[in-house]
Amino acid sequence: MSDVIISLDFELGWGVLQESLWLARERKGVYERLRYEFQTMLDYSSKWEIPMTIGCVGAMLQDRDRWELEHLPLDYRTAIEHFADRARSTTVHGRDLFEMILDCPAKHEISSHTYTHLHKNHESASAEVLKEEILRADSVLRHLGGNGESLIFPRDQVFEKESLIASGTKSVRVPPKINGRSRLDKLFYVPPAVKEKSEWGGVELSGSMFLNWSTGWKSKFKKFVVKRKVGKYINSGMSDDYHFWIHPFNLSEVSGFSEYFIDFMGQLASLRDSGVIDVVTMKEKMGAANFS
Amino acid sequence: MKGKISKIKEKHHGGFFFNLFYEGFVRLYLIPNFRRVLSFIFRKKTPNDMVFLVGCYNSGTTILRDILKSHPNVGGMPREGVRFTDVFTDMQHGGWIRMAYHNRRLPSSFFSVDESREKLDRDWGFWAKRNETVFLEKSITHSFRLEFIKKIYPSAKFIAITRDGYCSSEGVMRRARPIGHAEKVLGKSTYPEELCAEQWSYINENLLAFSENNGSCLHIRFEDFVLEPEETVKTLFRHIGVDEKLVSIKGDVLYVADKSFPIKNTNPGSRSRFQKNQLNLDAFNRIAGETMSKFGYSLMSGDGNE
Repeated sequence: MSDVIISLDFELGWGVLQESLWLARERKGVYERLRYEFQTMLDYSSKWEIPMTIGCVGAMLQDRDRWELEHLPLDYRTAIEHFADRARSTTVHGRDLFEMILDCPAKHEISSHTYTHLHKNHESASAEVLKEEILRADSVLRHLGGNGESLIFPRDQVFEKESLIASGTKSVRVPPKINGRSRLDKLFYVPPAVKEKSEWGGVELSGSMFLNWSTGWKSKFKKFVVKRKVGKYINSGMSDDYHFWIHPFNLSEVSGFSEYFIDFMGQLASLRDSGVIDVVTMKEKMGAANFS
Repeated sequence: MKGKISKIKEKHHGGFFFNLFYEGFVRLYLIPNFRRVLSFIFRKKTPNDMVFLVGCYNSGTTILRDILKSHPNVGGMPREGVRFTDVFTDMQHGGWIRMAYHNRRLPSSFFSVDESREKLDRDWGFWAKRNETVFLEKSITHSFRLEFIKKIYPSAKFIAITRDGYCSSEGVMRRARPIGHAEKVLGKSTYPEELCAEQWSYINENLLAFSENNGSCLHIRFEDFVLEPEETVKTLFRHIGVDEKLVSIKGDVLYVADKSFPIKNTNPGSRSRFQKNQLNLDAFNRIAGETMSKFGYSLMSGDGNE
């Protein structure tokens, strides 16, 4: 039986704190409506018993006076303070959403998405800083009831092995493995999730597909592609494992996406109930013995 | 139709055309854009001494609000205040009608305390009249956000009412229907006993903790109110700081100023309906039993004994 994994990159405005995108989303009420959409999504995940791996930004779950930003270079620290000064609480803080996850009867894995969502290619990122990002997020998540062991890299940019070894990371999600295919071929291809032992000692699980069709003029085409790819996957016979991931704020940002994702979970639940697939968390998948 | 008109008449205590106009206006005021337009025309007013009436669904909050509002110095809004403002989050979102407990993790508001105060003064202040020294607001969902309300109105007074958990929950199960997502998630069009018990327990534990820590909150039981309505209402008027002499009782009818309110203990009927409809007593007792005992309510067992 093949496994399906769903992971969430849970970051609110932190993912774009140095860009104006968070402000545009905030003005559209994306982070506020997310509170409603997220609860509804969790309700269905609970009804259909679909466990997910939810990678949370650590600082997002703390009050501002508890933030520990000393490990960050001054410019990025200032950017965070500036972001927190200007943004509304619902853009910066997600403790209420975290409580919803804890209350949800579905057995979700609460994992790390680093402490402040500093990505590897950022000018402030160094192996030492990224190690601290992982350790601090782990500490916050453990304190608040996190049960995960997986790390989801900010912007899917894989950290250097030094920071992963030094922080004692066990398992990570890495980008889809789609090498050797033409651009056109990639367009409708859903690569299987590959679980591998890494050279830094931990386990890597690759993603298959980012579920979203975004906003703007390209969205109709992207929506067509996403639906076509997922349809192809659903009818593929499921001989491989697949790993889908989403950004929760897309549930309230992108028109029709929330309904689509709920429907997708429903389809997975019926496939699981008919014995075709199993839906597991990253932790469960990483714990299983088989490797590619 | 006739029934609807007489209900409206009863609600607004006026003539036919006044009622028609008033009801139409109230319905318009529910629309955020209409409120926004009015806010340009009318000046923002700070409501007088605020009093919040809170409790679980079906706990007697509506009758109590009507009684308190019949005092000439007590004013308020013609509907629950949450419907006249967009300050608070929608606790019934997703179709969880009369089951705000499900959305208890939603933040109280998307606005800061200062922003909320500013908006509430505009949205609610519209209904405040000069001769009414007390402004009474009753919304069930405030029971989930008492601390936030306290921050907005630090000098506000609170009245909390608790009713027997079987009766309160039986009313929710009989009268409320989950719709939309809620119905799909539950897989049926009624609420399970477990959920009702959790909601009743959660709200009343919340009220208990709040009233124990805040002298501004007076906590009463519905059963004490129906047993001694005159004394209870006088106590409440004293608590909110208005003249209590206007209260009197003749038989089962309570009078406040020129208005009358028949008082009836509906608990025996509700309790027997709970048993008669073979609702899951064990599940209810397991979840809400401890809180029921705290408030002095006896637990029923499946064979009809207490």
